[in-house]
Amino acid sequence: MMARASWRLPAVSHMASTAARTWMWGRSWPHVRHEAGAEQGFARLADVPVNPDAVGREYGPFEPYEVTRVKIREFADAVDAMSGAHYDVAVARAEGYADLVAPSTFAVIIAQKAEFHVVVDPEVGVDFSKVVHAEERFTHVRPLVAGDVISATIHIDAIKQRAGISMVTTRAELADADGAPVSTVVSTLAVREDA
Amino acid sequence: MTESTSPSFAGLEVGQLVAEREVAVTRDTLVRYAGASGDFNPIHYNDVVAESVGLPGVIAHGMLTMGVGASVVEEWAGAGNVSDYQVRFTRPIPVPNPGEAVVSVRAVIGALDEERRTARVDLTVEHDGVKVLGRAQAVVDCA
Repeated sequence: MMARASWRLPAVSHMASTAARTWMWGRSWPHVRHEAGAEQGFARLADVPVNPDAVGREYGPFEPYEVTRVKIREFADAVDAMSGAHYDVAVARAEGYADLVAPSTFAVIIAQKAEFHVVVDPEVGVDFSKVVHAEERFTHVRPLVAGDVISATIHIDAIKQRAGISMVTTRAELADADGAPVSTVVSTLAVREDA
Repeated sequence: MTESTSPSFAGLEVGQLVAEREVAVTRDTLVRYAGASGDFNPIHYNDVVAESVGLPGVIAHGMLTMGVGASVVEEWAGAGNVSDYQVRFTRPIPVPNPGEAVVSVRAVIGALDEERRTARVDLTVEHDGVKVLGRAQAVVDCA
């Protein structure tokens, strides 16, 4: 128990890590697995609305995420970011940074890995086939740079229900290897409750 | 910061256009973003799955649109100088195949905080003449 003190829901965390691995390989998202799994008896998520009592739950920290030059360049290219500090170490250093600077939404990579633990928690009850991303906010203490080793915890801050929709707000807190806060990522998912 | 790229606070005015860009989003763009971000939700690459959940077809990742918005702001603000950035995703952007969805981004100074020397940049992000992001605001640290 002591060794797992940071894991409030160890059983769920184990399940989530398996699902997250599947997700990272890009083979399937929860709703795809749900559709495929319906015949195999895994359909229960569809019938359970989002549980408002899940507010206050937290998960993690998870295995730290290592920010690399390759990923920063790849992400910067994908979002049409043009600053040389995303691509050229000499430019980044001339601007006063230790290494390549991540674009300001790069933290979503780390945050969404953490959010996934909420989405797959059956006690929260999010059916991903009915999810739409509603809001996102990044607050940075400092930019992420290549070489950072970032730990994340994820918190369920709010679940508001009205007219067949649950708005689920999560907050990912990102900290560096020294435990210093780096970024806060707040995300709101709209989950339809209809059949 | 040896050569800080922070924009100078002096001289900024509310209403000032600081950056704008049009970006053509194709299926190729979506595949690149999926790989870069790790967001492999098939509604962003598979028409059958997208239509099965009630969408007109494959749509762009909201986070891709948000990320492109940040890139336009950072073109003016410099890398690493956006300390806060928020959006609401108000409309999906369908991405045809073949073809492209053109997304336009305009970044205008919305407010100035003299004490903190920060500028709030308000983004107008549109596709087909319709806003796709709501309350899109970035806070930029200025020199």
